[in-house]
Amino acid sequence: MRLKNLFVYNSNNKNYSFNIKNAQKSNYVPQYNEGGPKLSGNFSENVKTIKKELADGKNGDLKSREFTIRINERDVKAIIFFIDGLVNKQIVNDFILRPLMITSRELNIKSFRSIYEMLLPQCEAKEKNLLGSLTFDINFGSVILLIDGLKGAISLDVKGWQHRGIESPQTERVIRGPNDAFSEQLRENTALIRHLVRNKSLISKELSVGKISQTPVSVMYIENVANESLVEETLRRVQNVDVDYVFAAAELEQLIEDKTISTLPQFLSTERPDRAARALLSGRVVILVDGSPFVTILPTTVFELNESAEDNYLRFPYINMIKTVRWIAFLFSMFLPGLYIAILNFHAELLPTDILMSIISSREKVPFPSLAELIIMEISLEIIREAGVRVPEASGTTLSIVGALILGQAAVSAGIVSPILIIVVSITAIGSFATPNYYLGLSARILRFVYIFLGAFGGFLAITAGAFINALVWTNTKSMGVGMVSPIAPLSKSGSPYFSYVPPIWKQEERNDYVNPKRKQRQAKISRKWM
Amino acid sequence: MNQKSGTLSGAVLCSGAILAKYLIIMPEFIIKHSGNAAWLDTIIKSIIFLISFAIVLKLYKPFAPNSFDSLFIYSTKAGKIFFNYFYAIAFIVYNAGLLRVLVEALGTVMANTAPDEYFALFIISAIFVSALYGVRSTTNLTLVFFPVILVTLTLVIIFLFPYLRTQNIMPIFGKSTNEFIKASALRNYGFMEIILLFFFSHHYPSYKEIKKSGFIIVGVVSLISVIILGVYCLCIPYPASEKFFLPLYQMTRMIKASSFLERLEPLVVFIWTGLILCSMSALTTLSSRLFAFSDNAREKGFVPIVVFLTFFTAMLPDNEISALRFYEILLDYSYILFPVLPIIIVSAARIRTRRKTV
Amino acid sequence: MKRIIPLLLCLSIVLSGCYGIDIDEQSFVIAVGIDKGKSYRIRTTFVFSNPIESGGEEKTSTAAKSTDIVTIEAPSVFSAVRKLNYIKSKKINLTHTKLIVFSRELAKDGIGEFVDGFVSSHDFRPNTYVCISTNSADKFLRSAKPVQESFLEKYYDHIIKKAASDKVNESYLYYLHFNFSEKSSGSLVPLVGTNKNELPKETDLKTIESDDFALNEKAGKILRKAENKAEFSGTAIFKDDKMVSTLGSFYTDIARFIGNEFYPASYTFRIPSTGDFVTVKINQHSPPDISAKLKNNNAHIKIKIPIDLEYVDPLVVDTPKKSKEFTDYITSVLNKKAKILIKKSQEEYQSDIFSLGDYLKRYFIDYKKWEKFNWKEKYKTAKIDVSFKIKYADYEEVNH
Repeated sequence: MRLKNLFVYNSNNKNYSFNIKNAQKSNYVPQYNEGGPKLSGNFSENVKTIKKELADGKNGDLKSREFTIRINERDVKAIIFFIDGLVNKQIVNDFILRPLMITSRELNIKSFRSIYEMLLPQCEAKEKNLLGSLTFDINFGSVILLIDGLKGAISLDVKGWQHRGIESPQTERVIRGPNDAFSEQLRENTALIRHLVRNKSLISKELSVGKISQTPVSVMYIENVANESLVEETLRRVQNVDVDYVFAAAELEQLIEDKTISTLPQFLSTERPDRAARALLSGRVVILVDGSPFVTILPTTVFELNESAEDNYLRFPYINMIKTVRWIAFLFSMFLPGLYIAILNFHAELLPTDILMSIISSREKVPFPSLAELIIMEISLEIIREAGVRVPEASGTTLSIVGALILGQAAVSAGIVSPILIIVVSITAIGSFATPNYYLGLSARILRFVYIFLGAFGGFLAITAGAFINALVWTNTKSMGVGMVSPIAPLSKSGSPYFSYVPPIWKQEERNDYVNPKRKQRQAKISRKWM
Repeated sequence: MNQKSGTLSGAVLCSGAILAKYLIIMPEFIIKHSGNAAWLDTIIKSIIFLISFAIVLKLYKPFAPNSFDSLFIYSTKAGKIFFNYFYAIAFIVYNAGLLRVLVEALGTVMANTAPDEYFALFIISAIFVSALYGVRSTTNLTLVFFPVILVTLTLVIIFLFPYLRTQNIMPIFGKSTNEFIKASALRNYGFMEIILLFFFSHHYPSYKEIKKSGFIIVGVVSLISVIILGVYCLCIPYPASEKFFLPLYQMTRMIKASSFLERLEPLVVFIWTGLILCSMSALTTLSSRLFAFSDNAREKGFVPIVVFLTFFTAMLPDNEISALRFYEILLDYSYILFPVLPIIIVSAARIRTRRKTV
Repeated sequence: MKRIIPLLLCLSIVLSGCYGIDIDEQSFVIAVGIDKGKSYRIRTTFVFSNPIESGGEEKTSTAAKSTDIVTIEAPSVFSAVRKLNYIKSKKINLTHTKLIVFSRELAKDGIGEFVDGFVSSHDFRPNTYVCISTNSADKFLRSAKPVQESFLEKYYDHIIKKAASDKVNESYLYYLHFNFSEKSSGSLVPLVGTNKNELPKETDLKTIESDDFALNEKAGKILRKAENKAEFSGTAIFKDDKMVSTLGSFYTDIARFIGNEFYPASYTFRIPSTGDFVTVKINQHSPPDISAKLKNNNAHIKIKIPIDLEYVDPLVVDTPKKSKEFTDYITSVLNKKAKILIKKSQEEYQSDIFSLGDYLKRYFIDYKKWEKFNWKEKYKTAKIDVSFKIKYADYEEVNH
């Protein structure tokens, strides 16, 4: 070993880093609702046009079925298009395909007109010629029927997405806003999203992960909004996961994230279709895994992790107040015990004299140093919390009474802990429950212990140094090429993201700059045209 | 992601690095020489800073956006070694001075019997980790800390409003006119951290952004430093202000807001410490980069050495007084680092290119 | 390697020891009294708040039990603190000190050394309140027994808040430190004292007809009877860092008018022509208008103090004529007293207690010139006009 290498340690620069490239701007309006070009008279050309328009091949849930109809003793080619999950397949089989394929042969149909009149027992069937209205219909749960020789196409309304299996969300409840949640079925989940987005440029790429399990995975994005390098990278990572089996989105998340050692979650998971749809429309990519009621949104930032699903349904003044409270709760859950111990050991000057005296008198009977006292209390709190997850619901209340009331009261009267400490610990616990993201709450729970030790060893100075390193790790953590503290560090264009402050809805004109969407503008400069 | 924000982040890094020392020690040095005219002194210093920066920038224009270490002098081996090592060692010494002063200051704030090394260890470990991550992450960190510091500073100034008395700044030229002129023109520059802009200029796309960034730095630094010293001069009458150690902290201690709020000042000081840590880790990164001759792979290897040297140098002064004196002497000679040496480097490079074209 | 180095650093921090001291291992001083000593230079009294008794669940005791008072003779305050460590079991912490009381005798010898030491030591907070005791500081601190508050520290908090509500009585450590180091201006420090706590038994024919300004009470001399013997009233005048004289309550109020804002209070005047007792509420609505000019190297200072008068009992002043007469009388009394105070400060105390020098500083280019001007000497001969300006006296209102 050379002497030089003794002191100079060699860093391995193998760290894989990915950054989102600048997007090509797309001014293309993704949807012409009732307009667009007309279909031609040529059947194969029309099929091609529609396939291109609906991104067949990329889009996994777009299905087509070719067959023949007998008209005038002649086999005529026909094709239907529909989106899996949005239509009721029973109806398609029994009342579209069966009449066309079988009954047409029995009845001896003479003209195209009679197909429309006799073979399609649908209450809503329309002949449509415009590509735009056809794509609109298909995204809304219609079946498109094309027949060779027929000018235009027939749109048949056979909407039938799953209603029964859908339950209200367990972890992301809202007061105002929709109350449906994803289920374990992949197809149902994609349909739930498509039902909300209703746009042909919503692509759902079907993949499978796991050599043995072959778990279906769907990567969804909006082609005209999401940055292509982000989509590419996501697909690349998901495709290059070499495992035998994957059962849930949470597993896949861990396999594709950048930093596994960081306490910070790097993806946002949700069980709400509205939240997933909103993320898609703001230029994110959503990964759905079959068998998992949670979908993964990427990229995300710390500020988004501290958002709840309700945020978009609340008016501007309320939401900012609630967000502030949430941040305070998060900071409390992370720092409060550490600050408490630092104040007690190093900065007694900081407390008002009355509070100081009452803390001293409450600690007078406690035999342990304040650090030991705090650690005992924090650990027992964690035990109570962990037990609370596992106990059956019926005995949950008993546990909380035993845990919170009796244990706390007994600990105080036995002189093991001081009452003020109980307040600190409980504020901390409540604070971590107020954090909307479960993983972020867990992260605060881990870091809390670090800050307790730092506070006990070096007061505020150690906490500052710890927070400094913590901020360093956080700003360096990337979620799919986007810094986790993104609108602030790295600094992104001011104006659009408003890291934590939410502007009134008419002012939210642009999509977040840090995801580099193809479509920057989210709404018109003047969105309230009536003014 | 877009260039506008890149310009701003660079500006925040440099201005944070320059302003960090204003939060603990700089006002004391300025007051010492110019008395209660320190605010006026700072205005003059800012003007000098603006002019010198403009000169360096003007000379540097043809080489933008190449960083300093790719200019002519660096093409010769001797020049390269001299300038790199000079800057690297100078920044280590500056860092050490600031570290020691910070340690002394924090010892005062915490009123604790722990040895200086104990406090320094926390600081140095934070700097070490930060320097390992490189300059980009330090920039990001500064972007996180800078707004927080601005907010706390503003709050402190708002709470200080009842204590501001215009009579306190009244003999307008402070201690004595001669000394004021001498001090404002010649003493305590402390703008050498702007060198960061020139050594990391290869992160900028073009000259335009460097220029913009630089003028933002000059503006922000001038504004905030003048505000800090103005408030200090308005708040504390002259002969007493001279002897105040840790001026901003003392000022914060004077506030009587409510029985709860008036005791929060240690918290404020430790939030400010965040910015000082950013500043110190930026300089550490630069030093190790210079030691490694801008070799990206080897750059991180030098971080442990630089950090160790900083720690070692910081512990050299015997006591608080000599530590302050040490740092003050360093600041008095900081004009060598900026603008003297940069002017030499850039003008040498200009002469060289002119000769080549002729 | 990248992970091991921070780990080693963390370990070294942890292993190097824990320097924190738990708050229950410290005792907190809440007041300090400093007297002249008998065998050592000074005698220092420390008042501790006793946490076992105060706060917590068992609130059985009174405030008297919740405090612990220790008096020590030592050459300096900090050596007394060192000696205190031999007496008290816990570590002494001075950061929660609220009040520092100097005895009158010590103040006459000068307290600058103590104040500067306290400020630069960082052990005391700069906004600790400083008072001068008319009797011994030890006696005052022992006599302060709050009745309404259960804890002594709260009593101090409240009484300081009340006492320091205006600029003249803003006698915090840092403020005194500024004034003492400035050298050109004097300072006013509140007086505290212990009352004999008995009401006069015999009728005093000399003072029976006196009104408020004639009484002019100082701390310890208020005629009253109450459970708590400690009281705040009047101010001590400092020249540099030495006490030269004391002012009674009425002159203190006049000084407040000149100093800055005065909080509204009611005063009773006896009108000599009619013999009526008139109670009037005086309020200063804006800071005094002070204009300072420098003519022939001599200062001319004009002070105009805008005040509002409001008669508490409007029936006494039932006619506009009467109202005008009374108002004129009150103004003349105030003017006279203010002039006396200014004159006394120039001749007797020789101390610029109103910091009027601050208004003159702008005529000098730097501090050296200002020092050369020697305001301390010039103040004695400066021409100072002081007048009260009644902005609004409500005779119209009385009229209707």
